[in-house]
Amino acid sequence: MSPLFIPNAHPRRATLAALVAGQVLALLALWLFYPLQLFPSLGDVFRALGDLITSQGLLQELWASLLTAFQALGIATVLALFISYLTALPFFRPLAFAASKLRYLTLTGLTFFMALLLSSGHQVKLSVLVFGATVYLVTGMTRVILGTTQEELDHARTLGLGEWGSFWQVVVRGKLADMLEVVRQNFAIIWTLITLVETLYQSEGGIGLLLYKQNRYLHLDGVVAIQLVILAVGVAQDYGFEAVKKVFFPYAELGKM
Amino acid sequence: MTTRGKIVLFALFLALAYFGFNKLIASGRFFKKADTQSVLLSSIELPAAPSGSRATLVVPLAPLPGTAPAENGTPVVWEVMAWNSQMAGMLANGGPRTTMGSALAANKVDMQIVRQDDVSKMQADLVKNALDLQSNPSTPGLIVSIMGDGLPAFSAVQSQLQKAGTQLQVIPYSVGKSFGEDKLMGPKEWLDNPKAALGKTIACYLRDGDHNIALKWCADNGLKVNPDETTYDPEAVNFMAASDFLAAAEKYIVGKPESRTKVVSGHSTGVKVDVVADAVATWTPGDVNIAKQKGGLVNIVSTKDYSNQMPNIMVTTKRWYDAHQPAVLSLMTAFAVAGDQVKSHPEALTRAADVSAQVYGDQDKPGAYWLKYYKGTSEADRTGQVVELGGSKAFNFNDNLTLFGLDNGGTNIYAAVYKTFGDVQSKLYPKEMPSYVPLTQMLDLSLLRKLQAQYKGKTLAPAETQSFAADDEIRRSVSKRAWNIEFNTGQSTFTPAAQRELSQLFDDLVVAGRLKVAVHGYTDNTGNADKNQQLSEARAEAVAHWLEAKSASAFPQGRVQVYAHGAAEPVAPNTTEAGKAQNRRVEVVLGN
Repeated sequence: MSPLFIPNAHPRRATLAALVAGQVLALLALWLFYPLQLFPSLGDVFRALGDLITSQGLLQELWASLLTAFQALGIATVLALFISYLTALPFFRPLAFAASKLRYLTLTGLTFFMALLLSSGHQVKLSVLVFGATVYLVTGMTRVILGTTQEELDHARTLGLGEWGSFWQVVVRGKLADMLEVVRQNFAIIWTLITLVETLYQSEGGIGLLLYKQNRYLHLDGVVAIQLVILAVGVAQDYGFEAVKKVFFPYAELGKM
Repeated sequence: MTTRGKIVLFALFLALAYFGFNKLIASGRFFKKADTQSVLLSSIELPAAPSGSRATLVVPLAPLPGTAPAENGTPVVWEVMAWNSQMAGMLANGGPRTTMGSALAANKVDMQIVRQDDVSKMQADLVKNALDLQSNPSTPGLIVSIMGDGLPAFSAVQSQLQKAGTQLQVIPYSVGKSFGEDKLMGPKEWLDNPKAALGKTIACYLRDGDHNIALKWCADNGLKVNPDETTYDPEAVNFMAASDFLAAAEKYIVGKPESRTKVVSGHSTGVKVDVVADAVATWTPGDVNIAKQKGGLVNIVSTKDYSNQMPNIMVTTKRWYDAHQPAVLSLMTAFAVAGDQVKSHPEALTRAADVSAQVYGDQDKPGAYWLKYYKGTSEADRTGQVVELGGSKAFNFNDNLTLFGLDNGGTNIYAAVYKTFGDVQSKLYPKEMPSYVPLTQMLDLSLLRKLQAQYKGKTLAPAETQSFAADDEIRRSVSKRAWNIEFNTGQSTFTPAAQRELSQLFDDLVVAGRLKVAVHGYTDNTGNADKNQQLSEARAEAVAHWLEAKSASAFPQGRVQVYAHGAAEPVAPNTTEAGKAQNRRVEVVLGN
């Protein structure tokens, strides 16, 4: 019996890789040989992708969006770390709690107030992304911090550290790897929002605007092509984060079951 | 390696990646985005309504429809935006769903009216309806209403419908049109000096009716437009894209800058500049919001001037249309009956406005609101400027004969509008809209002809007519543009190239139905002054005659006036051949 069909089995990496490749190929073959009535065919999508890259500046737009996304992610991460580390002091816990609950807000209408407060379209774009990402990040990060066990803290105290010292070693330094994981998981929200804000402020272009235009003229092949590009970038990002984690926190996985 | 070493290396790697990519992208070495040049659109002309008998024939008031659903007849769904041009349709239905005693119930149609402001959702719904009809022919048909000048762009859905085995079909009947509510609002100085708009930015929902108004105004005034919403061309009129017509108004109200790359004659300079919205193309209530919240803009031009630009056009799938010819005929009949009622009786119009309020479902906008802006109103804005807001018209049967050119030797006004704006959009956006579906593939007038034959000899309320007093000078000019209509040297006959220009001019004037046309003739300084005076008059006359001969209905008596200037007011020095050629011109001024 192949380990692929045994519950809780751990097949070898090579087996898994082959499995994934096989599944992707099967999907592509299905798409190629059994085109759906209203879904663009694989050939159309590739043609559209070629055209988008060569004459409509897909790569430039992607780069512009990526820069905005990383800029927003950087600001949001610092902000969220600050808010969630503050929860060590009971006085600030309601703040983190409130920030985390703000993720239920919808952005419609809020952009108008942001526009009134800020001085340019780019800042509004950035604020929407920062706001959207921060509330999700705070939710994940406070969960990590609240997951700090009494044993971990006691361990630090027995090593002779004071309250602030053990907080620094256990919560701040000790949880950085987990924090990175939270950032990785929530990066996707920025991609979801970026297409929205780029249609609000179209002067700066971006991949969201390109997607919007393709959709407006019902170039569905172009829409699928751009979505696939975004997907590919997202997957690459995930691997990038994994690599960074391995380099900086080689021992983070020790002791985790 | 120590953690510190890793951090330093990682920071180095990031910096390298960032600068490397930036350099690569900015260098434009690989796959540059195609340059977009600003475009000078050849003037956009619209058909005019004919002038007919001035007698107003009033149809007697019919009993108003009831409120109880009739629930009987061919089921159909009508998707509409919150748009006042639909008053006749609202009255014909009596409510969101056909009521007893309504014109549609009498014609055995059971219609559900649904509000849908999102055009791409409308397109998707049509495709879905086509598929549903394929699997179950008794599915209620779907009709969507869109702006007449927006249909070329909307026709992109054709390829999807073809995959579903059918295509778009236009119902050969329109319930009404915009008559002032869609407009370009700008700084007052643009009225006197359109050139002041160069290097300025107009906020609007791109590739739509409002955008078209702005484009037409630019074209009529010979102003280049920059089609790329991500660049700024100081020598053209630029556009700031908004996600809808209200967001466009918001861009001006909030007034925050957006940064974009400056281009000079189509080439990027790499310099970033901040632009703000200086003007807005929008429709009611966008104009109301601007007036109430900020003010400072006046109506530059509106669908009152370009009175044929925006009829309400209904489209459906050919699959449903072909299978339900009698129902389509019933629809048209009911709309015609209701159209006469709405046009002649305030009670009927008020009722139609109440039905509109029910359908559109905005709690803060009762029937009175829709009624007020249907009629159009003048209000003072926050800065005390008086602005005209709103304005729509309902159509009756004769208005439709005029619109589709079935009155005596008339021009198919809608066909001219469709082609005009289709060409403009595909010229501006060749990548996104390389082509559009020819109207002849979607429009079949046989049902309208059938109704026309039925009504022959019966008294019908006349179409709205446009009459021009012949001795009336243009007091307010909307646009002025020089046309290089080439004449054979020393004569007032046209070269073949001129014929093409004239066709363009004709289509263009047809859209601006309510505006008078002044044709000014000029010559170069060759020959003596008297002869030049005569020659310039003969040339301007030749253009006027050509237009009137092509369509008596679009150019009724008194619409076109002729002015001769001889060699006066040269636009270029008469010292070179090229300069002389520029001076031998005809200028066309539109105004009222």
